[in-house]
Amino acid sequence: MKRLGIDRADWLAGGTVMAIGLFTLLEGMSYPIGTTRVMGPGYFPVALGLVMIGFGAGIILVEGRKRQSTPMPKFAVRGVLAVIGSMLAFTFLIERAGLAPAVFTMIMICAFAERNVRIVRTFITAVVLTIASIAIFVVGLKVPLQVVSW
Amino acid sequence: MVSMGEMGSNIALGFSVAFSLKSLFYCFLGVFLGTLVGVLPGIGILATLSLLMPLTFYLDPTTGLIMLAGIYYGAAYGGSTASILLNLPGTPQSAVTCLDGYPMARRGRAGQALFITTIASFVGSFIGMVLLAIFAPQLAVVAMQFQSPEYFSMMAFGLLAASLLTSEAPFRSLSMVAFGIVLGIVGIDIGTGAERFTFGQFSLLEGLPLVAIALGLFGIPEVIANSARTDTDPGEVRSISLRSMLPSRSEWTRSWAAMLRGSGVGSFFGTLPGTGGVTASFMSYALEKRIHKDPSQFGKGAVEGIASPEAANNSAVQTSFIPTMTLGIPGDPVMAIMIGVLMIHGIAPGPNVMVDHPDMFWGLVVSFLIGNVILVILNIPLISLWVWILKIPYSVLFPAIVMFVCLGVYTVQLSISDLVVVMAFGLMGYVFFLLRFSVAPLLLGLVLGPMVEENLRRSMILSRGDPLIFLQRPISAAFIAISLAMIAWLIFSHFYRRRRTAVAAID
Repeated sequence: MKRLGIDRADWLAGGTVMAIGLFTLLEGMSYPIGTTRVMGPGYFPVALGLVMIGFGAGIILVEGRKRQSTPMPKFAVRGVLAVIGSMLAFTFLIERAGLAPAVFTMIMICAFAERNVRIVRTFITAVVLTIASIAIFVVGLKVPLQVVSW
Repeated sequence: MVSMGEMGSNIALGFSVAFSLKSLFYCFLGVFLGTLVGVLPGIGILATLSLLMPLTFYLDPTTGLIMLAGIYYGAAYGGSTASILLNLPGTPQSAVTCLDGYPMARRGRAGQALFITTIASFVGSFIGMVLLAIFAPQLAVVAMQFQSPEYFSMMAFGLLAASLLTSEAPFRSLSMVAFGIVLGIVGIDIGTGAERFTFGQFSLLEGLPLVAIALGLFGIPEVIANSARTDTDPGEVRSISLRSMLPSRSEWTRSWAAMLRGSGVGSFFGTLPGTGGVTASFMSYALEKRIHKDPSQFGKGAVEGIASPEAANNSAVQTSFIPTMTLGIPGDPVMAIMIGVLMIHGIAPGPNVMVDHPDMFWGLVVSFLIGNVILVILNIPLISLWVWILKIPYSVLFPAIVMFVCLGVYTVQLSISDLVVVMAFGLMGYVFFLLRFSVAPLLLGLVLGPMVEENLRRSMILSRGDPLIFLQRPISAAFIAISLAMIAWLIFSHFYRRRRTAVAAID
C-alpha cells in the first residue's frame, strides 16, 4: 500500500518518531525551561522533541522516496503471543509459585511460537532448562530464589 | 608522553591481574560463549552481551569487563564458521567471509578456510591489541585536558558518525539515537534535582534499567522474528579433521600480506567512533579486490577474500576499545554496553579510568592476549565441537534465550517492574524491526544522553550562554567541522546518486 509514492512502513516509522518527539516536547514544556545560560530541566527535552519531529519528517520525505526491495514483514501474531505470553506467565508465577514452575510453564508456552510444535521435544527441553536454571541461578550464583513455593 | 619503563611496569601489572585464576576463568568463559554465539546464526552479540550483563553484578568490574570483552572478540572469531560452512553469517561482521569462504568450502577446502580465518583473526587481534596498548595511554594524556565543550562536540560527532556512516537510512538511526537520549532523561535530573518523565512511578526515579532495556530490545525481537524461520539442513555440514585444515604453501603466501593489510584497515575503522567491524570488513574486501592482479577470482574462493576481512574485523574489535577506555565515548553499541557496566559499578568513564584504575585497563589488555590464544586453540583443534553445535535446532535454542532473558533481568534486583520493562521494550523492539529501524543506535543514545546533556549545560554556563564556545576552542571546533563535512558529503551524495539513477533509467 503506497500513498504519494511513500511506502507504508515509512509513513508509520516517521509518524511514530514524530509522535514520540511531540510527546517529549509537550512533557518537556511542563518543566521549567530556564535560559540558554542556565538551562532548566525542560530545556533539553524540548530541544530533543523538536529535533525528533524533524527526524520523523525526514524519514517520510527522504527515506520514503527510496525504492524498497523488500515489503514490510508481516506482524508475527503467533510469535508475539507465544513469546510475550510466556514472559507474562513467568512474571506472574516467579514470586507466587517459585522458579521451577515459572520456568517450566514459560518454556511450554514459548515453544508455540513455532508452527510445528513437537510436544515431546518441548517437554524434554522444558525439563532440562528448568534443571539448568536451578543449577545456574540457585546453586551456582546463589540468588535467593524459591525453587517451589506454596 | 608515556615512557618505555612505565609501559613495562604497566604490562607487568596487567599480567598480574589477568593471570589470576578468577580472571583466567572468566576470560575463558567469555571467549567460549563468544565463539558459541558467533558460530550460531540467529543469536546476536548484543543479545548475548545483554544476557550476561546481569552476571557482572556478581563480579568486580575488571573481571566483568574481561568476560564481556571476551564475548565480543570471541564472536568475531566464531562468526566466520557459519559463513564458510553454511553460507550464513554468524555475525554481521563476517558476512563478507561468505563471499569467498563458502565457495572454498564447496571446493572441499572448508578446513583450510577455517584455519586461515582463525590465523587472520589472531593476526588482526594482535596488531589491534598492540596499537591499543601504545596509543590508549597517549590519548588519555591528551584527553585529560578536555573540558565540557570538547566532550560535547566529541559526543555529538560520535553519535552522528554512528548514525550516518553505518546505516542506509540515516534519519532512522538518528531517530533511534534521539529516542535513546529521551529514555536517558527518565529519572532525577542531576542538574536541578527535578523529576523528569517519571509519571509518578516510584520505580522510574533512578532511571530506566539499562539491562532490562538492552535485553528487551536485542533478545526478544530476534527470537520473535526468527521463530518462524525453517532450520538449516544439518546434513549439509560435514565434520572436519585437523589434518585437513592445513593450508597449502601458496595459500599461506597469498594470505599473509592480505592479513596485514586487513589489520591496518580494521585498526583505522575500529578507532573511529561510529564505524567498526562491519565497515572494516567490507572496506578491506573492496581493497583486496582492487589491488589483486586477477579480481575475477573474488567470489569464487580467493583466499585473500577471507584473510583480509577477518583480520580487519578482529583488529577493529580491539581498537574500538581505544576511544572507549580513553575518552569514555563508546564507538558502537557493544562499547555502550561496556561503558554501561562501568557506570553500574560506579566508575565514571573517561581518561581518568587509566589513571585511577590502571589494573583494570592493563588487566583487560593482557586478558585480550590470553583470550586470543585460547581462541586459536578453540577454533583449530576443537573446530569439530562448533561444527557439531551448528546442528542444534533453533526450536531448542529460542525458548532457552527467552528463559535467560527473564531470569537475567529478574535476578538483578528481584524486581517485577524490570520484567515489565523487558516485555515493553521487547514488543517495542519488534515493532521497530518491522518498521525497518535498526535499534542498536538507541543504546548509544541511552548511555551517552545524560553525558551529552550535562556537558552541554556546563559549556553554556562556562560561556554564559554563548554557543560560539564550541567553535572558539580548537579541538571542539575540529569535531564540529568534521561533523558538518560528513553531513555535507551525505547530502551531496544523496542528490548525486539520485541524478545518476535518473540518468541510468533514461538510458
